[in-house]
Amino acid sequence: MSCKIKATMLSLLILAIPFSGCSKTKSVSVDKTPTQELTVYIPFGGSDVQMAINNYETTYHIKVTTVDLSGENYLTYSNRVSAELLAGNGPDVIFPSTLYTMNPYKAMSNNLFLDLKPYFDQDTEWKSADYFQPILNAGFYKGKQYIVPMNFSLPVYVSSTPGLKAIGFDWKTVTDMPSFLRQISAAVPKAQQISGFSQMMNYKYFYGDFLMQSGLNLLDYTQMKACADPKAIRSFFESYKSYFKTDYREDRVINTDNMGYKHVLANEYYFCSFFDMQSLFGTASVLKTNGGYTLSVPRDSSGKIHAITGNTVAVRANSKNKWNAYLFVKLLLSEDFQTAQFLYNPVNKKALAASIKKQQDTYTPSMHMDGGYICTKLSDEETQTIINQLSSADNCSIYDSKVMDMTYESMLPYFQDTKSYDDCYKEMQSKLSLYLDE
Amino acid sequence: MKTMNLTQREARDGLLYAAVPLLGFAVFFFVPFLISFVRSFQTGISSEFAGLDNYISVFQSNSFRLAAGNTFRFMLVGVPAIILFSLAVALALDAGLRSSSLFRTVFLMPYVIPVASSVMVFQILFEQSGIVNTLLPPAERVNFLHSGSAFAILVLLYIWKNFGYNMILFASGLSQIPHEYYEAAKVDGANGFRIFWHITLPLLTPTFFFVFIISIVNSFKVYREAYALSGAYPDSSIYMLQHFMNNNFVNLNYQRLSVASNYVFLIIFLLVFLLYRFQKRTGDNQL
Repeated sequence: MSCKIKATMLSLLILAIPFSGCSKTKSVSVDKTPTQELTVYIPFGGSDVQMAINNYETTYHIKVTTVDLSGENYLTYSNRVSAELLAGNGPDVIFPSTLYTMNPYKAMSNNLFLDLKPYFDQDTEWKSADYFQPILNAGFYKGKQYIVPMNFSLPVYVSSTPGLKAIGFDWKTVTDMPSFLRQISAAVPKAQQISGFSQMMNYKYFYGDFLMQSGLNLLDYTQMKACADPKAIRSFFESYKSYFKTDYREDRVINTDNMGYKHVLANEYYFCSFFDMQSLFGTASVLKTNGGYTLSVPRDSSGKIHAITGNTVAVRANSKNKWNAYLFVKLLLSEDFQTAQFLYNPVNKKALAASIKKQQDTYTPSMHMDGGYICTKLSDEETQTIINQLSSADNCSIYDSKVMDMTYESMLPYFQDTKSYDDCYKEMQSKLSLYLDE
Repeated sequence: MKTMNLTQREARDGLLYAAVPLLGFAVFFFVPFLISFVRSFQTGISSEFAGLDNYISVFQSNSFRLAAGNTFRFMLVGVPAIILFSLAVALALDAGLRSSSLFRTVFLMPYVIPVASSVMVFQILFEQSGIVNTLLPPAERVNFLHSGSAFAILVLLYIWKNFGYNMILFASGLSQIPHEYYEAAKVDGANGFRIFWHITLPLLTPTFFFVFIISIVNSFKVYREAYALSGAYPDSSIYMLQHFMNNNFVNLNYQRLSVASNYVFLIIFLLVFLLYRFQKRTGDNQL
């Protein structure tokens, strides 16, 4: 080896020594450095964010620099914030639920966001008992609160009681998601004999919701393991296949109405699941007038109920206005702000109860429903049942569309009978393992 | 006033001519490379120093090892295969095959058509409902693009797409060899193999070297084809380094992306460096 090469290699080695195994670990602290700035980009459809900014400026007397992207394409916020995060800058407050191309768990593991746990812990005004802890836990990664869910959706299925009776479906016999899927598949032949029938669910593509509600832990980010419970996974996919074969067709309708009562009463479909409580109340109130309604929430095999986060918020890890950003997050979680929301269920318990009461008073016989249908006001007892159901989540996770797409693409040949379960499962496991490990 | 001599004037003019490309190289390659290098020693988007943690983490990652293994396996199989095949075709055309110019044009076609079109051809052939499967009995049908066969298909696609260009390079190299050498060898009674071994091969060395480098670079670029064939998460046999880097880019993990690209840079740099040394040595020996 020539002297020149030896010298180069030696220099490289000497240069590398200071880098080896001496990373600096910062102690957990709350940065309360006072600044007079905060930058927030308003995402697509983020009129409520603008409302929060106005409240924030009035309450804290801090000027918020805003970039209004609410009127742009829904991807504009995602693309712009992602690019700026890559460059190490961007807004102080980030809405991860609108970063469509990014996996939230990857973002958390990449330290893109600030750990807000010490901020909540050291804030004497913060009352964690006012919030649904299982929902907030969805934003935890390895003991750190990187993402804060502002609201959530929980699959309360609304059906017409006479309608379910006609197709021979009984919720009492449903034990978990696979059993629900098998039973709705078994009810399809009977439903097909009733005129007007189109499909069982109010949406065409229910796969992701079913999978999330089943509580399957396809990716365990703590243990870094993909497909940890093959038996439960098989049970879910086998039962989903029976649903797919009997009730799934690409050309089935998608419910574009906010409320499904018209379709349910016309026997077009039998189960409605809504993100918002307006639709839930509206449909239940009309069905109450027309023979009664049934509300139920599917559980997993251990009896747990799984919710999905709605809008989420986070603070950029290297923000210079960390404390101001934390105050903004706290404002988004406040009872007043959360009560004013109408989409999804608020993570604030009092806000959820207040919103539900508001719906109870809205859907009365004086409400003019589309199609001339009459509402019957839900009683206090019925309203309390809904509050209890929406508060019953034992677990919550952040929806990851990539994982959904990956599993669906891998398992589709199995649903279509063109490939064996084992082959599809192997492919899915391989893809998920890669995804997790990257 | 100090006047410049001819050498100085030439140097100044040369520098002026090279200034624009040099500036472009600095702005679009060198500066981003430096930023990426610095980022590879940091944590997240903060400027916290991470030491060699990112390098160790990436090196220990199964996905990176799989991607690196596949990329080098692809290089080891694909590069010799494409060189041998394109050389064989170039020799056949050089030997006076009829309609050789037509063949040259036809063989170059896959190189100039867009990747998406090339991939579509292979999808039509090898997908679950593709032509190859329709020829097989139903029980033996395989989704070739999502099985272990995907690797062989990708090698085939790489050869099919790129061999035309290599063949043109070899043909150009062959045309540079003076015919007198061949005639003298024939007069001396050398057979075809000895002529190839002692005349064609040594005189094609510079072309070989260039084709080799181009083929290696193209083998790293085969990600486009793999992505178009099977997406961001293909069969594990065709999960390449570029998949790893691209997926980390999408997930905003700049650190892992930077580390992986630095590893690739180092490997390509060493490879090209060794090849240059090898070429220099063989060139010196020939002289």
